[in-house]
Amino acid sequence: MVIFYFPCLLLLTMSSSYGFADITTSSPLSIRQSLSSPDGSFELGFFSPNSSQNHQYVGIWFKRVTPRVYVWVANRENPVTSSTASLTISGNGSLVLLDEKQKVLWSSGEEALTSNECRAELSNSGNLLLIDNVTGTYIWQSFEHPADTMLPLSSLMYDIPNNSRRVLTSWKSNTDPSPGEFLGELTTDVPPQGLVRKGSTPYWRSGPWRETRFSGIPEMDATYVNPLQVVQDVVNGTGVLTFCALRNYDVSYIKLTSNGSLDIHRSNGGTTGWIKHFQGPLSSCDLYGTCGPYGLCIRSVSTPTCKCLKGFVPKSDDEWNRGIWTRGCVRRTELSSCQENSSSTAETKDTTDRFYRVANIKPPDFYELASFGDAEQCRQGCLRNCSCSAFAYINGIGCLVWNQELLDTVQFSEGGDFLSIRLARSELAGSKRTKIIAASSISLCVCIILGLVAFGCWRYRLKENGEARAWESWTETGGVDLLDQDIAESESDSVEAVMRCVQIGLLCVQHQATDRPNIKQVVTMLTSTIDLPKPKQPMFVLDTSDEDSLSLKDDTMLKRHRSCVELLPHDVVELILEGLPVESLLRFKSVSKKWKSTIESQRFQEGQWIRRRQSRGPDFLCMCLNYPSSSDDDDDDDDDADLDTDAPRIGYHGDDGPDTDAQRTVVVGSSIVSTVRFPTSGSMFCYGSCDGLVCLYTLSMCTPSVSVVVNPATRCHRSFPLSTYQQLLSKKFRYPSPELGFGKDKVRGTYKPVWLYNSSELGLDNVTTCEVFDFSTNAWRYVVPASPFRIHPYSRPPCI
Amino acid sequence: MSKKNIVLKSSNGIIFEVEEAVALQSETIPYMIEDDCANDTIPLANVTGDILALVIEYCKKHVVVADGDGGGSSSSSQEDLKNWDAQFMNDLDQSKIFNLLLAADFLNIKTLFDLTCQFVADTMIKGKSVEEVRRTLNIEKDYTSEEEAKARQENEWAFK
Repeated sequence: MVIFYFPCLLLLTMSSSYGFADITTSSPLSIRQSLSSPDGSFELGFFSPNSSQNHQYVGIWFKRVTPRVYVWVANRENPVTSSTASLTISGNGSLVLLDEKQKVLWSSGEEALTSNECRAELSNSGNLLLIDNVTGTYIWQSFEHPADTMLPLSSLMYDIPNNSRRVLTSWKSNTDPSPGEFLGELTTDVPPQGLVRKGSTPYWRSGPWRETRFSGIPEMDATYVNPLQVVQDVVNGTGVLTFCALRNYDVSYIKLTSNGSLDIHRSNGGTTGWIKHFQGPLSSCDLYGTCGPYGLCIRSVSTPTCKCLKGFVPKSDDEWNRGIWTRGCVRRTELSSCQENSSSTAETKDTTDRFYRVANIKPPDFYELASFGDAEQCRQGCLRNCSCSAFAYINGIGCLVWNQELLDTVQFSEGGDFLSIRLARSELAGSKRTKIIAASSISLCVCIILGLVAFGCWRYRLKENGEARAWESWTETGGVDLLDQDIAESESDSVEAVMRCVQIGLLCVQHQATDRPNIKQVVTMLTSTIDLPKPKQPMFVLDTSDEDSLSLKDDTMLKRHRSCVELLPHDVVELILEGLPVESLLRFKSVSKKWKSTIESQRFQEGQWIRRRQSRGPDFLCMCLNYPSSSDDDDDDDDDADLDTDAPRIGYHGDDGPDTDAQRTVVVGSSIVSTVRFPTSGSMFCYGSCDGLVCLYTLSMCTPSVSVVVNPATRCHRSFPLSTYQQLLSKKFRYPSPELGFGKDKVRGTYKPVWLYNSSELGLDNVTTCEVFDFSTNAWRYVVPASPFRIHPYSRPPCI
Repeated sequence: MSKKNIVLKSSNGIIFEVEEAVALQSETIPYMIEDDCANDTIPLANVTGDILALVIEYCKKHVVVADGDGGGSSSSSQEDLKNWDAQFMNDLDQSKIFNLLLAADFLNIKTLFDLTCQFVADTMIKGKSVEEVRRTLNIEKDYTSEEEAKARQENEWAFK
């Protein structure tokens, strides 16, 4: 399967088919002309959003997807009404739109002052760039001046010191690009939220950003791969929200529509059209402050309704019952007179306020980030502050507190966070809830103690508070006094065994999961005499003498268990990782240092390789040669274009997007698709791919010959020099037969390419010659003696 | 031949009585029996009742009946078992899956452990972002920003 062709001819046909390369002073863009991005994804030109031709705008749209979507408009407020107009570079180096009387309808701004020549280009990402020809710097770009649309890689931002903001402004209507009443922005709250405003009134907000998603959008649950990224620098007063491309879709965009909806659309291009991927607001509960202060909007699918938060009643029953909710609710029972700086003992008094916890909540507006380190401190901090009306401890954010009325609170049917609302104690009379929370907050992971205790066969000694007793006993006597008196005094062997068991038992109930041994380690500890780590004091503070201990215990047991589970022992994690494909593993090296060292260890890699082979069945190797199609030829990397675009392409593109870099794509197997840069033309494959490694080599008349071994799974490759045989052949313009073999040296565990060829006709002394390449020395060596008999030149190559 | 039953007790005190063959798919339980720690009931103090019920459901489905009388539930073909496994896992939420994984590890039931591991790998980790994985498995990020950027850069393509 070898295809040869003539790269030099192909190169000639490569010239761009797009008439318009860029806009300069001497080549302005006029009506009925358009400028395409090099890869043909976007187009810049004049358009008319409604059928009448007398209002023309300069804009950018997706060239390949219908229906047409305008992603940027220059002259939003000043449409072209004349029959001629041009987009050009002005004398001071800014991009300007001039009508037939040379009147400026739009300008990129005065900041463009430069003495140098400039040009405007449309990038492959849809960004219109004004470039200084001499320095190559971007003087202006449309991504920094968005209209109503964000494209992948564009961003919204604020910069307080420089008093600048980048926001979306909706169109006035579907056919009128002039600025409408809706505005989309990233707020300066900490953490920030996405906010759509209608004029100056908030219309919809996303809730605070939490690491990877907005907390107020239940559709963005923990499994959602968020195309948005937010980076906030509180110290320097900046924040950026970046739109990253949607995974697995060719094109996507975010648009703030003229009726205030923030929509994400995606498409796989062509005539497949656009699919709405996300829409906000979705429910009437999403509209800002639907239920007024202290109101709670129940966001069920069928009928969103307003309720008052627990402990609150409608401000006006009459209005509320008629469905007029915007005035919200008021507190039913006033809070106790709060004493600032009261010590933590205050909460044991009967008069202090309590917290009521509601689940699945979109955090209300006007939150403040407090520096408390955990949920309990957060609660205490809020309790101490008399103006604090609620708190929420949210993973990925920390402690949020509210010192104002609670506005725009929504309850989802699932997802969302817990919100703890401060109420007078009498509102919660009879509720055990706070007690349970308090108890659970000091609860810990004791969930594996008893089973392990049974293992060591001393559980019969344990009573109600056995763990605590074991700790005392171990610190005092090393655990001996847990033993019956007469045994302890007679048999010294069993005394030691008991001490060891107690120590292991204590190790098993350590608070931190990483301090606890796993079951295999326990077996080793029990059956050997290896040194044991010293246990820390376990945290047993559960008082079971309480009358409602039973329900309390069940509840805390569940909570405890959950927190245990989140910390899987690393050996279990390793076994889970073995079941992952290589690509995921490479990505997850970034999870933590421990994961990185695990994934890079040879032991793990061998285990993963075996496991994947067993679970997946035999992999097959399939490759084919492709030639770059003319539409892909437009390589913007000029240095490589001459050498590379003419080379064949092996296999097909994966989901890596357009292959503009003219890399070779190698497809291997049923599960791996990968692109590997193979810097030459005219490829052949070695016979015998080995453990997923593929060996390729070339003999080319036009470009330097190269040999390379590729691991398509990791996309690592290593090139190796030509053998004597290859050098001889290239001088004679002949192709090798048989071809190069490739295999694994089972003794040394290394991979080796090998040639075996009839050499007498090449002017060598021997009948045949065998050359083997050794990667450790990076050199070919001869295998002597080689076969004294001629080999059939068209048979399969040799094997190791 | 009368079948011997084994009584298992979950951490929250729920009692399960199962045939010995069902329980012995766990390689941990025989130790407990041998060690004579289990005169009447075997306490499994780190497995809650709901999880133990799942484990037993799984073991009952997968029990291999040594004597050929009747066959019954054990006659399921490999294909059926595979489908059953997939359905079994699909019905569980994340917290149950993690607990089941720990229970299978503790009880040393290899097939269940492998099944759960692979399920976690496929559904909770494989296609996820680094941040999601950290959150799902509650892993602390011990990289500095630069270190993380570097680790990421080394295999940039795998993040696309």
